[in-house]
Amino acid sequence: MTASIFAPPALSARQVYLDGLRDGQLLYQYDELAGTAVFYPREVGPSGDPGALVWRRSEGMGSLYAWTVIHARSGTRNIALVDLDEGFRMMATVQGVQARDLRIGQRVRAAIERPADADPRVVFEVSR
Amino acid sequence: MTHPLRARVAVAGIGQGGFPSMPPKASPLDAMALACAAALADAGLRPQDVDGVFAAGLQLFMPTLSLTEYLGLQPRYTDSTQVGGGAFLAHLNHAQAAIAAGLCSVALVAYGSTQKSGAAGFVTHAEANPYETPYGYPGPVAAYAMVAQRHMHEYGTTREQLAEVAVSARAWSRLHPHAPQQEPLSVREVLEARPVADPFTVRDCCLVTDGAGAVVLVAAERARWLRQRPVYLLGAGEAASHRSIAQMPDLATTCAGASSAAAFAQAGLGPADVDVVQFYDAFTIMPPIFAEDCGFCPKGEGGAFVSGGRTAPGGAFPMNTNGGGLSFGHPGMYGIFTITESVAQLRGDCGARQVAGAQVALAHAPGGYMSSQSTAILGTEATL
Repeated sequence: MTASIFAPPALSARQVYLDGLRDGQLLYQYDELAGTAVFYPREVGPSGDPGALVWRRSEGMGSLYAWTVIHARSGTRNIALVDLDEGFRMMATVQGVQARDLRIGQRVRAAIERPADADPRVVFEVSR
Repeated sequence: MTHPLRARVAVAGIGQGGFPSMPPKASPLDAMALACAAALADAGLRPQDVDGVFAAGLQLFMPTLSLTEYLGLQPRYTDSTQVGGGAFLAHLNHAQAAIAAGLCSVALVAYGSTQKSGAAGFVTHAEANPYETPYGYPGPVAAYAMVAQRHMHEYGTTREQLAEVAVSARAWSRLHPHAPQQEPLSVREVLEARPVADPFTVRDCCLVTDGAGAVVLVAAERARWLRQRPVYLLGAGEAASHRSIAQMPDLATTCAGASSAAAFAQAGLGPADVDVVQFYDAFTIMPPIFAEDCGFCPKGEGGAFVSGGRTAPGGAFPMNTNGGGLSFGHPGMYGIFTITESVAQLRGDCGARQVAGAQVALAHAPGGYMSSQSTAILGTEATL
């Protein structure tokens, strides 16, 4: 019996994800055997079969699962966990909102920031 | 049928050192060695007797090797399991198996930190997570704050209930001659303290100290011939569910249900049999959740369970009797001190903070961001 050997992928999952963001798309993976969305990007999903992972594009709509506001000497910032409608969760921040107006369960919409000097990142705005 | 590992090993010695701060330029290994020396002296053993070394750390990349070198040990078994602050409870689980299997006979479990005195130079060897760093994620305080937000949202847990955890911890530390925090603390003072990460104020968060702890384990029959009254390891259990907080399936429920069930099953005991509890309390939300997930109260009722002075001195549920991470000290990882305080209580060595007649102690600690959960149940001779 021969052992299975999986060759390195042409592009890392993180590279595909970042390229998607640069292209204005929030990509996530779906494990077709496990029947579940997967995030953060990875080479092997819960089914254990690398071939079962496919890329999908998120519509960017979700709800606020949890949040906190960090009070630092430099000022305050919020950190959030957002449940995307496609069934995955990611860490992010919610912009344009006061701490007192953050509510678990509120609807949020993704936006992509593409700074010149850093990797792109996903942020959220409260959906009105 | 009695579990084959129940009371197979016993704690023969405990030690602490380095609280609340080591002198400038001391290393975490210096602090760890002081605690090891204290634990070995407590047991009436010498470094040459140690043949199993168990350690984890934030500052030391290969802590068992560093400790082996420093003390001139000759281990035939080492275990650097790093599952966060509760790693030392996992070490108890591994040590009982190793001793029972004959892989070692004197197990030294140790931790040391210079998180306070090291201040600017304090670095951990934790890796950065590129899905967290873009948001200025500061680590545990943000994760546990979000855990608290979810628990408050799902179960109606209140800020006052969380504050009670800190108030009770302070009431205990005031009975501890070596605790740095001796001023009384009120619920109102907790709520009005400087905000850190909503809903936490600085009084919902553990102290930042140096410190070190060590525990010596041997086979139960050998422990009876050593210096101290043995404290038996009746049960231990571990579970793990994730690494980063964004991957935690349900922020308000941990896998402590599994770790505590394993520990209780080995011990042949249940929550009602426990006389004194040490719940890792880096943040005030932790004890209420552990009270639920370890089976001391129904899910969602942890906030009420820890309120009304129930966990304070004289209360029905004596918890964190040394003052905990909130009011005794928290040198980066606290889990080892849930063991040392449990043992001290079962030996009856706790003076003004002694829980009268304590025979069964439960120590529980998470690691990471509620990521791992480790539970140990310890008992006196009377529990055999």
